[in-house]
Order: sequence, then C-alpha cells, then structure tokens
Amino acid sequence: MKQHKIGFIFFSMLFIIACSNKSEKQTYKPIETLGRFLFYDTYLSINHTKSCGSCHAPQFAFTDGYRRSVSPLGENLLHNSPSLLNTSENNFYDWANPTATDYIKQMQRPLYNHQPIELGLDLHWDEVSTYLSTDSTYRSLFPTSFPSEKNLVTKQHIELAIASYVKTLNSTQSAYDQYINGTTQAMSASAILGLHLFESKELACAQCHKPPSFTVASTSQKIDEVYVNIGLYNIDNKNQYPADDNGLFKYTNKKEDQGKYKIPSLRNVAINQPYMHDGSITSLEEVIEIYARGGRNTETGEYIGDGKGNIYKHALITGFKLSPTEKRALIDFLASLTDTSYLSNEHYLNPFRNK
Amino acid sequence: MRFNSIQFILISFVFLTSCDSNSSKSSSSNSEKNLINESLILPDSSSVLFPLLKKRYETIEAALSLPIPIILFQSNDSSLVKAQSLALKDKRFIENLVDKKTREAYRNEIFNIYKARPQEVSTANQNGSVYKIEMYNYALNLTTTAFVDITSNTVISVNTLPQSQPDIPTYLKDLAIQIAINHEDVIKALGYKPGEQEALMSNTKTALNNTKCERSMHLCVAPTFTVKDKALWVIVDLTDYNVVGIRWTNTGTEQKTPVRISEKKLKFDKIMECYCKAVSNLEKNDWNLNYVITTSDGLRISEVKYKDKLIINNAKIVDWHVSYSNTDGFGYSDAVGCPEFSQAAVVAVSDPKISDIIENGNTIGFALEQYFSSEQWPLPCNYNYMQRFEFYNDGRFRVAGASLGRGCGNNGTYRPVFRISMAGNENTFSQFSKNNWATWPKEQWHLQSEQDTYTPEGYLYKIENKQQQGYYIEPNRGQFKDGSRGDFAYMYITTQHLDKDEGDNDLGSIGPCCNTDYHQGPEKFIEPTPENINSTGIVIWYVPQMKNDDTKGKEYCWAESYLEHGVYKTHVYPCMAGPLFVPIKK
Repeated sequence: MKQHKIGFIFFSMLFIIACSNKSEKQTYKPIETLGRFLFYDTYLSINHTKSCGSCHAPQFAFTDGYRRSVSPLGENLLHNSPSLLNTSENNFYDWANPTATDYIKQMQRPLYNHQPIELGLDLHWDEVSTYLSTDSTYRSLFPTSFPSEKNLVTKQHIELAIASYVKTLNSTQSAYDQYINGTTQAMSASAILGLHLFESKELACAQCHKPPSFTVASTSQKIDEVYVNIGLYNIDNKNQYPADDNGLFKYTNKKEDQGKYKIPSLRNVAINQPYMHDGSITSLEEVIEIYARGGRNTETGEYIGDGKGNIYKHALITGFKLSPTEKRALIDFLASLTDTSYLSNEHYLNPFRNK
Repeated sequence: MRFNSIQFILISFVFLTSCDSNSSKSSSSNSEKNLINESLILPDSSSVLFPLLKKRYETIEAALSLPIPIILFQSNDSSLVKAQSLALKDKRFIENLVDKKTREAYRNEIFNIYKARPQEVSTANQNGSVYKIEMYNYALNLTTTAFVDITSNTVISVNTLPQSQPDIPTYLKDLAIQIAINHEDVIKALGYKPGEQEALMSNTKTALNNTKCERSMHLCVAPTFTVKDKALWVIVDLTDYNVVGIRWTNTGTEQKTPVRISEKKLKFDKIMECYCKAVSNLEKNDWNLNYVITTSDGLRISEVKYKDKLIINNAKIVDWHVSYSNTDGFGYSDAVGCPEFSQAAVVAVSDPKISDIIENGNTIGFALEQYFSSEQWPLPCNYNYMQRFEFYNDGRFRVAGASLGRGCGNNGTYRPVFRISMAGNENTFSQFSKNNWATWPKEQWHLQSEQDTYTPEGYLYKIENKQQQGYYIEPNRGQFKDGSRGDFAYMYITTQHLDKDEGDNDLGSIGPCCNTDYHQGPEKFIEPTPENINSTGIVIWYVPQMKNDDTKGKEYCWAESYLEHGVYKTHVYPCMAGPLFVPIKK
C-alpha cells in the first residue's frame, strides 16, 4: 500500500512536471503560423466561402461531421472528410489514392481539383495572389516564412505552409495516453476491458488500427497492408463496390483492389462520426455490429448485397461475438481515445473567427 | 361515432359561419408595394439604396427621434391601435427603449399585434378583447411582449426575453427579398437576376458564423433560391440591411415538377376557426386533454390528465432548428403554426388527427397527430413536420415529432426544441449512471451519447415527486419501431416560474438555428446562475438531433417525388424523435 502511495506521488510529480512543461506556450515557426492562416482563409476558395478548415474543423477533430463534404458551389465531394490530427507520420494520406504519400501530394486534389471544384485555387489565382501580396497579415508572414525567397506568394509556398501547419496538429493527451503513461485511473474498468478486447486475437482490431497511431498507415509502407476491403459492399453479390467510388481499384485497375480503402486512425473516433470512406455509418455501435457480423448486409437501395461474402474482403474480417457488456466496453475504450485538449491551443483554431 | 361525425360537421359549420375573422396580420401597404416595384428596375448593385430601403432608413431615423423611440405598428384597425397605445403606456413594456447610461435611443419596433390565442390567456380573460403585442429591440436582441385588454384598458402582463426574436412582419420579409435579389453577388452566383417570387423561406430566421448574424445576434433571414440540385442561400442581415454572405447547399436529386395541388385556402379556414382560435378537448380511454394549434409553437397540448390526475401542464415544439453547415453555422429556425396568424412558412395543412395505436391486434392507446407543411413540399427548400402525442392505456405517453423532409440540403441536421411542462411542484429529476440514479440538484443539461448507460428497460432519466410517483423517461434509441435512428438529444431541466413566462406562452425563436453544441435555446433559462431543482416544478426541454440522408435505400428526414402511372407521387422518409414516459410503479 505504501509502495503504491509512493508510486502514485512519483507519477503525480511526473505528471505535474509534464503539465508545467505543456503549460509553457508552445512556439511555432513562421511558416506554421502562415499555414494556419492559409488553412482557415476562405479567400482561397473560388467564391470565398470555404477553406481547408471548412471540412477539417477543430471542433470535430478536424473533420466536418458530414457523410460527404459539400464544395463551395454545392457539389457533394466523393469521400468523408478524414481527420487531420496525428497524420504527420502517415505514409499514405488519401482514402483511395496510394500515390498521395505526403501532404503536398495529397492537397493537390482539394486545391486544384475541377470536378468537382473544391477550392479552385488555380481558377482565381490572380485574385488570390493579389490578396495575399497586399493583405497586411500575409505581407508580414510570407517574408518571415521564406526569408531567402524573392518570389514570395507562389502556389508552392502556399502548399508548403499549409503542410507545415497540418504537421503540427497533434492530440496525444487522451485518457488512453494517460493510462499507457501510468495514470491507471485515467480509464474506467469498462474501457480497460475494451482495450483488452481491442487487442485480443478474436477481435484483432489492433492488427490494422495499431497503437499508438491506431492505423498501420503510419507504420507500414505496403499498399496491401494499408488499403483493405472490410466488406462494406458486395453489390448484387458480385464483389462490387459502387461504380463511382470503388477504392484502390480506380488507381491500380486490379480487380482484387475493389473496395480497398486506407485504414483510418481511431484517435478521436468518438467525435468524428459518421464513419467509413463514404460516411455511411453513423454510430460506433453500428460499426462494431458490422465487424461482428463479418461485413455489412445491404438489404435496400441501389447497393443490395452482403459484404460478408465479398471475396476481396480482408482475411481478418471474419466476425466475432460480443456480450452487451463487452460491446459497451469496446465503445468505452474507443471513447477513451478522445482528446480535445488541443482546443485550448489557439494555434489549432481559426484565426479569422470573430476578427 | 357517427353522431360524433355529424356533430363535428355541424359545429364546424357553426364556426365557419359565426366566428368573426379578426385576422390582424400586418401586410405591405400599397405604397410599399410600389416601392418594391420601383426597386426592381434599379441597376443591380450591392450598395444600391433602393427606395424601399431608403424609406426604411427614414422610418428608423424618425422613430429614433421620438420621445418613445419605437417604430410603431401601422394599422387601420382601431382595436390594434388601441392595444398598441395601452402597451406603450406601461413602464415595463418601454423599460428597454434607451441605453440606461447615455439615454440614447435603441431601435425598437412593434412587429406584431394580434388577438391573444385561447391558450395564451386565462379563462377569466377570454372575452375576445385581449391582444398580444410583440416588440423587438435590435440593439439588445430582445423581445418584449405584452398582453393588454382593450375593454378594461389594462395591461395584463409584460414579459421580456433576451436573445429572442419574434416572427418578422411581411414588410421586413419583402425588404429582405429585395436586398437579396438586387445584390450583385447573388446575381453573379445565379447567373441571372432572380425574381422575388423565386425566393423561398424569406421570413425564416437564420444565422451565419463570422458575421453579425452569428448565433442570431442580429435579426437575419435567408431568402433561398433553388437551381437544379442546389440551393443558394442569401443571408440577409435585417439589422444592418445587407447581405452578409451567400452559401450553396446540395439539395439532392433534382425534382423537376411541382407536385402539390393545394386546396389550402378551404382547409385553412377550417383549421383557423376550429383549431387555432379555439381550444379543443379530447377525452379518450382514461385520458383527458386540451389541444390547440399555436402561432409558432406547433400543436400544443395542455391540462393532460390520466385517470383524473394532472400529468402535464402543457407540451409543444417551440422551434425546429435546421442546420446545413457545422462549420459555417447557417440554416433555418423554423416556426410552425397556424396558417394565418403568423409569418410561419410551415403551417398546419390538415386537421389534427386522432387514431388508435394497435399492437398485436389490440388497441393499446391512441395518438394525436398534426402535420405542418410548406406550400410546395416535397420540392427542395420546402418543409413538412409532424407532431405526434401518444397516450397509452397503461399510463405511458410519448411526446414526439418528425421531419418529413425535404429541406434545403442533403447535409441537414434537424433539432426540434420540445418543451414539456410537467405537473406538480415537488418534482425531482434524476439520471441513471453506472447502475445508480443520480439526482440533478440544479438546472442543467445533458447530451445523450453512445457512452450513456441505461437501465435494463432502457430508461435514462426519471422525474418523481416526494411520494415517488412520476415517470421514467426512455429516450429514443431506435427502439420504437418507427424507423427512427435515435435522438442523440440534449436534455435540459429548468424550473417552472409563476412570475415570468419562460415559454408557457407562444415563444418566438429562442435560439440560433445552427449551433452544434448545447446552445439550442433552453440554456438561456439555465445560465448564468442555475437554480435549484430539488422538489420544485420542472420543465423538460428535449432537443433531439436527426441528420438527414438522401442515400438511396437509407433515406431519412427526406422526401422526393416520383412518377407512377403518369402522375406524381411522394415518397416520404420521416425521422421520428421524442422520448417515452413510463409511469413509475411502486
């Protein structure tokens, strides 16, 4: 008992030291600050109504809470907006495109895509360029970000700055992180049971959602390990996914890549619903039910078919059984991956809010 | 039963022929209509001071220089004028007209005056001479209401509600449309100058983050224009008279042809006479209750008794908040109500319907239902709502509501604001958590989430009196076999006040349309100092959250028209919300 007390005091002291270090205001490089402004600046979009932050909003763990985001001109985008937190170590960034292996490659689509237009930066580049060259904030930030450059306002510099900013977006102070770092009371008994289930051989969640990032996208460089088919669709039981969105297949043209999508991180998963590449699942409970079943059975609509029988499905998606208590525990564990402490850091927030 | 039908027809006829139509809706005067027409031919410009706007500024300046700085309600009806002058003589009504330090005038405007509804006045005052006056203070974003009796020349009551906005009068709706259709960004976005008839939902309040319309701090509306499968939202600030932003939403598969053939005028007359101007009583099985269609709070039930015991003082849906952007914070704050009293765009289109609830062939209760609809539903940017009160033979009851789409975008979130004033003044409220009931000591709120724990029966809350009589509350988690996907509701508990009105009467818009957090309106009755709620009268505010879906096979809060045998029909995919109340058995 005494040992425990000493242990607790020791850990408490460590925690206090850690906290006091955290409480010191973190400083950011000029390029990261420039990136923050650009990330949240709606002027970059074709009609000045959307920014990167419109679909990647801090209050939703840098997603937007919708099945699929809407473009500045009212078009539905193809995929659910993924979280940008803790992505700096990723080897792959896009839901389906395996060539997007860094931030710069990834942002080519939102910045320059025309079908649909997402921001449409190139379509009004002259206007943006003039604005960024004359606005007082940017006139200060660009030279300090690129001190040795003569031509300051370029698309490449914009991309670099936004990438630098996104790289700084991390959240690793969840209850789970505290638990792993020794604060055992940070997680409830139910959540701890959930962690054991998560790591168990039967459920095998951690095989693909590998801690601490909770995605193999940050540990593996193999496309086959990062892009998987989890049996969401099996249209007409012909192993098909919706024709306009069939995953990795679009880029490799290999039939076995039908329905393969990047494994997302589960950090903050409790606050970034809806789930999956198309946002077609609304709750964690439903997600667990689908995995427990070994795939989703679609009984109505255009995509009727049982994903359980999709032959391209990942070998680990075989189904499992959970009691209501265990299911509750798994949800509690997933909720323990929530960390919203970053919301108290101004650097993460929209600098144009209430300006 | 047949006797009842005949009796009903007879009574309806008597109403239609004998009830005087005392509609007091404000409308644009002829001179204002002329100004609208003039403004149509002005050059398109975002900064044009067109005649209607010029006149508006002149009206404001004139009012600000008056000893009692109010833009008065203009009417030829002597009763309304008298009602207005009575209110103006009451110190409480004119308490917030000027800055108390500098004595500078605020912009105040009487928006509406109408004969008080039956549910709004006590029995003693139901002599037909009580009027309600609604005044808006633009500077403080404050609504002041007064009830006056023009026969006895008395002011019955005065109430002020911060961060609240009354229904806007027709002339302000017209002004908003003119501001929208003349704005160069709107013309540029649409590719043409829209006509005023194209503007939908122009009288429905809205918000927009990063503008003065954020959190509805200014009076803002959103004339909306549909083009193919999209809608252009024009956020008009009616405090500053400008367009503060435009936004596009995706309205789903294009709907080609209007389908609604409305016989609404005929129906409206009957609805007005029978269900808006008169309180109806319903006695069925062991239940007895009154119901009336309100100005902007939908169908309101009151004095609900089960086996002669009072259960509910009253219950209704105060607002329907419909959000279309989690990050931009725009959408509508829909008021639903009677077809003629108010500017509500979503109005009662049919009589309240009473039907049996049948389970396994047995009648286990009955339901009282009311539908509200926009004129061109199910076309985009038109709405249809349903309210449903269920009363079971075993004493259970459910207060429910549904959106039947289609709305103005396929990324919409509906948040109806339920208000249920429970009977009794010694109630205590508890929440189930970790195998125990925890009493809420003070006014507070809670968001129903996946992390909540429920009793084995599915109860999350209970309300009970000192004798441990009361109800368990079972939030909707999709278990009611009505196609619902769950409520994910904010639950707020506030105390009942006898000395001030916190929503017993018809409420204007109490909260911004589009907040994604607990700021849905009821919190203003809790903050900044929550009151004790242990053994007191309790009001339940329940705000479910339903996300619409137009995905084929998964439609929700949605409607679409389709051709069948050469005629248009409508597929409806309702999203039902609302908790079930189950009697506590000792």
